[in-house]
Amino acid sequence: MGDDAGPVVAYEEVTAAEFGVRAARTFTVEQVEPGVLLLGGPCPRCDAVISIPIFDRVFRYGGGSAGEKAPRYETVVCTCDEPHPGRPESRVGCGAFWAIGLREGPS
Amino acid sequence: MIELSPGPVPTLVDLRRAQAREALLRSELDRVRKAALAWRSGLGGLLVALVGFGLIKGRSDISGLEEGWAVVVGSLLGGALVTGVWGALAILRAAHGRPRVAEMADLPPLAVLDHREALAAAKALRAGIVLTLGCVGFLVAAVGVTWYGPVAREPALVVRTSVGGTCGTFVRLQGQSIVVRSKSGEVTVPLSSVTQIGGAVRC
Repeated sequence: MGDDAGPVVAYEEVTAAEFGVRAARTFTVEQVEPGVLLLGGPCPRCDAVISIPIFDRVFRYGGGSAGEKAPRYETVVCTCDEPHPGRPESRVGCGAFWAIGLREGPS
Repeated sequence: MIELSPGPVPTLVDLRRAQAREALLRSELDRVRKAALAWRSGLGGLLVALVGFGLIKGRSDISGLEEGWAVVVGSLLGGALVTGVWGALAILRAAHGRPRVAEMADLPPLAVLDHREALAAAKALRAGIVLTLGCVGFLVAAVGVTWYGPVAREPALVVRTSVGGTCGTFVRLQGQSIVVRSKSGEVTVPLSSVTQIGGAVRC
């Protein structure tokens, strides 16, 4: 989902308090439609610009409810497509993850 | 307006959950398309089996049914046609999408588009399953009524003579007489005494 290359860093599943602070400062959030938020900004670790959709609902084959109440904090992983050495095939991004708070503010 | 704030440092469990959710979303449209194809094949097979079931012959002509029941069979077949076509279109829509031209300016990011399409496809798939099963139900009911519905009665024959009349079904001509099967059995009426012969829906 990213389209800007950052410095080449190896894939590593890592987090830090600073990631959340930086993402809260640099990310933007847009409500695309009811139940769909779009977070966008540079990954605090690899700097690739990523956009992360956050949905209320998802299709799950086999029935059952896939929806969860929107959490106050959302754990976000870097989903860039930039090359990061050591990344397993089933993974995306550089491995960075952080939590970001979403709060309805005054409009 | 939504405000962002730094969250607490997430754990490895939070990471795995987020990765699973991301993988679920990434494969969402593929999964719903595959599900629609599988349902399409399964329901198609069910309809083929139903045709095979119809080969075990019962009555196959609704003209042998009483008029009211023939209308019922016609209505059931109409219901089967409507639900069958509607259901097939819904499942095709789920499996292959809907051809549509959109304004570029209105397009959200691909992930959002895919998610929106996946939800629409899942909804179409659910509708398609219900409608196709409804079609099967209508067909089974139509075959059942055709097989076991009441037989149409032959039109009655009314033979009048100067001394009265006989109502029944025609049996044969015998010499100079006509033989009619009435409720009380076969009645032979000499043609020379007949003043009027007419038809009736029932005696």
